[in-house]
Amino acid sequence: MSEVQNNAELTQYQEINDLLSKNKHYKEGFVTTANVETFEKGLNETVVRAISAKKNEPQWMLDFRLKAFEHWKSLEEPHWAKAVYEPLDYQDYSYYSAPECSACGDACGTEAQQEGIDPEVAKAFAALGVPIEDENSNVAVDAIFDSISVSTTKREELAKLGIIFCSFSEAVQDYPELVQKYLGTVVPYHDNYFAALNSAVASDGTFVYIPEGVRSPIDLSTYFRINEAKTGQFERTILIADKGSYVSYLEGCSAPVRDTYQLHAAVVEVIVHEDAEVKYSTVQNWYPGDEDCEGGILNFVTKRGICEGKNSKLSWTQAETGSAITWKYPSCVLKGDNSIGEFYSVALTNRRQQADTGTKMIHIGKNTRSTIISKGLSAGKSDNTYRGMVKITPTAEGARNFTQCDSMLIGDQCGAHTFPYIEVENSTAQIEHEATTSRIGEDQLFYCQQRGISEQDAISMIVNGFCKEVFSELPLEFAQEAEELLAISLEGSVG
Amino acid sequence: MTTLSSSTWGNKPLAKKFAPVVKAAMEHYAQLTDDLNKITENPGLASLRETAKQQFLLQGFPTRRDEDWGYTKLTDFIQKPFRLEAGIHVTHNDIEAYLPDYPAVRIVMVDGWFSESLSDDLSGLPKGVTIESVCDVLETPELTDRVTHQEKQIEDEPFGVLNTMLLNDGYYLQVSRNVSMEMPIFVLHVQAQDHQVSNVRNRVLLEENAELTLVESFVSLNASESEFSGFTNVVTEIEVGQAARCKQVVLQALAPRSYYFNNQFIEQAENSVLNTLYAGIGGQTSRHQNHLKMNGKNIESSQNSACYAEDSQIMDSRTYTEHNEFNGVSRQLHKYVLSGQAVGVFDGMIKVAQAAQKTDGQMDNKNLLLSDSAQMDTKPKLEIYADDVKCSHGSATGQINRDQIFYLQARGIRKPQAIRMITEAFLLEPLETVSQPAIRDWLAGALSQKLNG
Amino acid sequence: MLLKVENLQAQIDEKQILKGLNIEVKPGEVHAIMGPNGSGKSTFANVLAGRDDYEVTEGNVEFDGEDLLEMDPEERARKGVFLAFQYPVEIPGVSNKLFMQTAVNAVREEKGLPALDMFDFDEYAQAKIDLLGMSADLLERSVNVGFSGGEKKRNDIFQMALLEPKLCILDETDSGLDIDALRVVANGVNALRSEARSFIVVTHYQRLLDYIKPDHVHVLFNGKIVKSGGFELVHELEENGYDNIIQQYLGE
Ligand SMILES: Nc1ncnc2c1ncn2[C@@H]1O[C@H](COP(=O)(O)OP(=O)(O)OP(=O)(O)O)[C@@H](O)[C@H]1O
Ligand SMILES: [Mg+2]
Repeated sequence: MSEVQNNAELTQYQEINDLLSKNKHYKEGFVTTANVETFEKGLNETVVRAISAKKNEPQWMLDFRLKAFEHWKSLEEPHWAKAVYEPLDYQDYSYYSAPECSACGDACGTEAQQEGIDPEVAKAFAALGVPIEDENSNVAVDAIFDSISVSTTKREELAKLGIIFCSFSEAVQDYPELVQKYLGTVVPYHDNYFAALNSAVASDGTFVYIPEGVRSPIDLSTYFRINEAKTGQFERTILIADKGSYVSYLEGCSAPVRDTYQLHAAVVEVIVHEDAEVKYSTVQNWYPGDEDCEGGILNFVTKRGICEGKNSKLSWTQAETGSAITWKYPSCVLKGDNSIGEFYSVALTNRRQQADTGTKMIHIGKNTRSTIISKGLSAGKSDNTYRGMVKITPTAEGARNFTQCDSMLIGDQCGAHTFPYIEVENSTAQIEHEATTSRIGEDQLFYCQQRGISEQDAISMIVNGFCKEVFSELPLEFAQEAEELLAISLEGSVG
Repeated sequence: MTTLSSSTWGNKPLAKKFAPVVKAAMEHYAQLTDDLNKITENPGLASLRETAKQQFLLQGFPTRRDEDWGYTKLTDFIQKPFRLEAGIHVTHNDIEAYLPDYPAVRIVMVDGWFSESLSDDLSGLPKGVTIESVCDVLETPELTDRVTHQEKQIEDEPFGVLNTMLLNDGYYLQVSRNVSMEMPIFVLHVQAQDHQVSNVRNRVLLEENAELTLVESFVSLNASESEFSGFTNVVTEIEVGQAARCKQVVLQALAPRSYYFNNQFIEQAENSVLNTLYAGIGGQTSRHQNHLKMNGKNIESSQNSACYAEDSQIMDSRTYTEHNEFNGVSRQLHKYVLSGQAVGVFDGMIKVAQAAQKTDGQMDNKNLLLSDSAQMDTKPKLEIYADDVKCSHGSATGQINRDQIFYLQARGIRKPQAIRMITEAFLLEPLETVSQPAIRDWLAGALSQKLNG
Repeated sequence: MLLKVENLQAQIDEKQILKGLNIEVKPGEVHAIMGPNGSGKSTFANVLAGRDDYEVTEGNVEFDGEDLLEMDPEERARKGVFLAFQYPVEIPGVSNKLFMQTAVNAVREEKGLPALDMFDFDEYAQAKIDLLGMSADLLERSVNVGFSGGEKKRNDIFQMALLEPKLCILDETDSGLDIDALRVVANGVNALRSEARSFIVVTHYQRLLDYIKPDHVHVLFNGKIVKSGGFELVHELEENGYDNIIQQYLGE
């Protein structure tokens, strides 16, 4: 059923080099030529069973997948977002691809990963600046390459504190009761089309559990890398912060330059208990495609967290610069009284990229609060949409929301859109929403230039100033990376 | 290989399945079309109605799953099929109370039919001002397109389709080039019979540099009968020519169980000014929609609404504003005061086309919830394709500001009165754009009376 | 000669504003330009700085032996042309400090000097703050955002001190200043005066000129310099207004 491919074909290299020279703006666009095991293209029940078997999964996990798959088949692909794409051919993707490690050959399960990382894969992560072998790094990293997690660092150190930080596949094996307790509770398998697909074919992802009263001393992070052409990545991440705990979790992504679309449909579930706090930061830099956004990543993601207990807090921060199409609404269900939800987002689109992103803040508990700060930047011929919902249910006495959506247009071929939905069912709630649209003023540019600053620098300075409120929420190194990404992504968009 | 293109998706006609009640209602209205068509002598009109009917039978009524109808429930409405019967006799006495207390040219429409006997004598209108009944216009088949100018757009709206199916009467109003109609034209739309459809199709045409003030008032004659229910379905096309100035005020004060749907399709030409205000206080379910296209340079527009809803009223006001040319300015302020289990809905879209550089668009929505079970749903949207624009929207929902109440109390005003004063001031703010004091006072009176009644 | 302007004509939106302006500025000189509202003073200042809303239709401008009109605005700035704006611009989110560090390093690069890192820059900025008697917290805020009118003007003078330009053009930097701020600005200008540095000061008032004593005073009217003289011309204007001079000019 599976087939081992060797990708080191000269012709392909040539093609890739050609593509790369067309895509100077995307520096993560190299391809790794490790030996990989890739399923044949196609999706049916046998494939779902095979994925499960490959990962040696218990029956309950297989049942979850099959149930989701059955449901997915009954759904229609959604096209309501502002993003326009032609229906995808789900049979034209491969649903499992993993680097074959030299240590254990074909029959490699998840257990043996630690010992043998394919040197090519290790090199790839090193080139991306992901510290999978650096003992002195101050973050713990789970590195995911196509369908599987290839390395998780610092786990012993974290284990001493009772923190579980491992790949999702391992968690299924090692902590089945925890996974079973939380899987699908925040994002049910029937939530939406892509969540159903993810539930059926989930590849790998990260599992984090922070026990009661523990503050994670270091940032935890996951780095996603899609390498194989025409594979989908369907990671599933679950993060649980038990009572009074704290964690800052970071997520970064990239993919090589390909000329066909790659599909990324992730599901993230976050559960925050009483008095706990989770900061979830993402820098998304998937390959956006060439000048016409041919061949970029289709990034259809469901991220949702629940503030289950009193005084809990969940904060989403994202810098989105990549992908041909992004469709993503990290949300907070504010169930516990006094719980707090935050969403800070910078989304930049250039060329023909399309981003439709925002958040949902569902207020259920008393005195719940939410803040939404969204900065959309459109350049080139792109479309950038904020779509968000603030819902105050009748029980949410004294709820408060503040929303600010600012858009900036760079050039006159792009679009910036704001679609907020505000539903208030409690009179004691207080909701404020503001949105503005602007561009970089001629007078601002001239002022900078008069002080000797080049136009390109002036633009990147003004743009970063525009995004500042969001970047200040990102961990330091991440903020820097995000600023650089903005500069790179904007290159050639002006003048 | 998948390719990106803006080829259309969605909106493909699916063979829909309808629940029995819905199906019955659909057949009922289709029958009304057939009845009308039996007696018409204008074949163009008959085929127009027939085409609309076919479309209606295919798509039915919108449901809450439709993006634009998620907040406006129609289930009650669908269960009450409304009739279309010849008008009953209404006297001057019946309508006296609803006429304005300021000088105006008065036109009366009873259950959707233009009433010549109740309207002012129109032969004395100033030169260059024409008012006719649409029914009369339609007697000349060649003139049919006078009132179906933007038909394609109209039929994008479910109630627009229904309006065309039942197209029979309304008013046609034209102000010629350089003519300023000083006196306001006041149109009283009366729901006279219970369970009756008032289907109204109007066309307002302002030629270059013309000026007009139009006031419309929607009332039910038997509002005191608590079960009285009428269904008013209006489509109005307004064309504001170059440098023309159009001021419009619409007061909707129908009986509490009545239904109101009003779609206004407005086109503005270069240098023109539009100022329209909707005041909503009546109806079980009401929905007032402006579809505004600003099609020339240097256009100004203002669209405001002031809505007060109580009990289980659903009050919906929507604007769709297209900036299509250079240097347009649009202003909007929509205010809602909600009590009881009322639901307020505001949906606004500002769309700025690529050619519309230097657009300045602003949309504000502010809502006051007076009771625990009132509900407000808001969607203020921007869709922007030009870079040199200033666009913003704001929305705020909450309770009365305590500091304000306290400030008034500290000046010796009792709390209930303080609350009334603040609420009233809140609701009346959008009226500031109405420039004629007499009209503004008349409107303010109607709103205050409702609010304090 | 530092600046030589010959028969400068410029227009905006097809409207002719400068109609043949001539002026020569030697190194170390201070020139004042006065003239009624709308006479073209800001236009002249902006044309020198390279604002592309204005179209130069005729004439030459030579700066330090080079053709100024051929240069981009930032090139002019790097070569030493500084404009203090009549209306300084706000740039939300960009800190004044980062902004000026970038600018200073751009000018240093032009001069072949190494870039200043954050510590060097802080030290450098502090020296200038002391020189001008400014409050240091303006540095931490976003460029001109929420600054009072006077603070914006002072900020521009501060930037001038940091960039050490060859030609400083001050467009009504004295408007809207209180007495103390006026003194700060004047002292700043005086402190920066040197043999190599020249000034063009656009103003409506004698007050600032009393402090900085210009070498030459010009009256601009209807896009042309209609009268030039020494400091005494300032007093004449203060007493009699522009009428006399304009009548005289129109009579000729
Ligand atoms: N964009 C424009 N379009 C048309 N006319 C313009 C434009 N900008 C400036 N002007 C005109 O150019 C003339 C000169 O303006 P300028 O700002 O140079 O005057 P000024 O001498 O600096 O005046 P003030 O003393 O008031 O600052 C004025 O008449 C002004 O109205
Ligand atoms: Mg000036």
